[in-house]
Amino acid sequence: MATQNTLALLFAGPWHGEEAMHHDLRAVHDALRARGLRSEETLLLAGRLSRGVLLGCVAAVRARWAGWAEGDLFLYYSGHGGYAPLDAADAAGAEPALVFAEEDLAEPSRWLPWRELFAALALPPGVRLSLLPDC
Amino acid sequence: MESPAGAALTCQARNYLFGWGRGLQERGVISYYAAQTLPEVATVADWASAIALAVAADARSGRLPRTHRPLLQVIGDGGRPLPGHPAGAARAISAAP
Repeated sequence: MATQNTLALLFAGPWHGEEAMHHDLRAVHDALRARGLRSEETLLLAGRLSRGVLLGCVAAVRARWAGWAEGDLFLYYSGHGGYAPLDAADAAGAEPALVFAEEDLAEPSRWLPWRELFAALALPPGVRLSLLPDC
Repeated sequence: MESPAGAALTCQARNYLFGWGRGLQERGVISYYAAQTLPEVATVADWASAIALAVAADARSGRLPRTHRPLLQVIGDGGRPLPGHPAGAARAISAAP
């Protein structure tokens, strides 16, 4: 059975003019509501994301799970991904990342390594993370 | 994955137009099938199986090009329950005396 502490973080990071991610976010949100999640158990962020925006969002909401002894955090991301930084000298110097724009990819605000996002979540030991990346 | 020298590795997921007529809508392929199957499954592994079945059915019927078939893999504990409860279970509970 699912634990009582549950929160879903739903992110959509379309590039300029893309609509698919907005549709995806709405559909996943509707599916979670069909599973009985209440409106306060789903947090949505969609639009022109950046490293600062995403990390700022996580920092603003992580108090929600910081005190949990146990619980489930569901993380969904519809957007773009790749390996960053683009100017890595070799494969070992690059890592999987969320990519927020198609231009100026040398600019660090344009991408965020998944590793940094997981670290920013700062999940307590008893909180389980489920991730669905569509990127 | 391996990319040509000098080429950045980019998105592996793809979008596709689902629906018909005026309801045609571009969606992420993974998200489309994930959202379609999520309401009725109990665990992460069940979810992956349901997605694979839905994808296979649409590929067989020609609704999804074979080039767009996602191959998903569960990393970690597939037996982990998903948030909330399957919608069918909720109906069963509410119908119980």
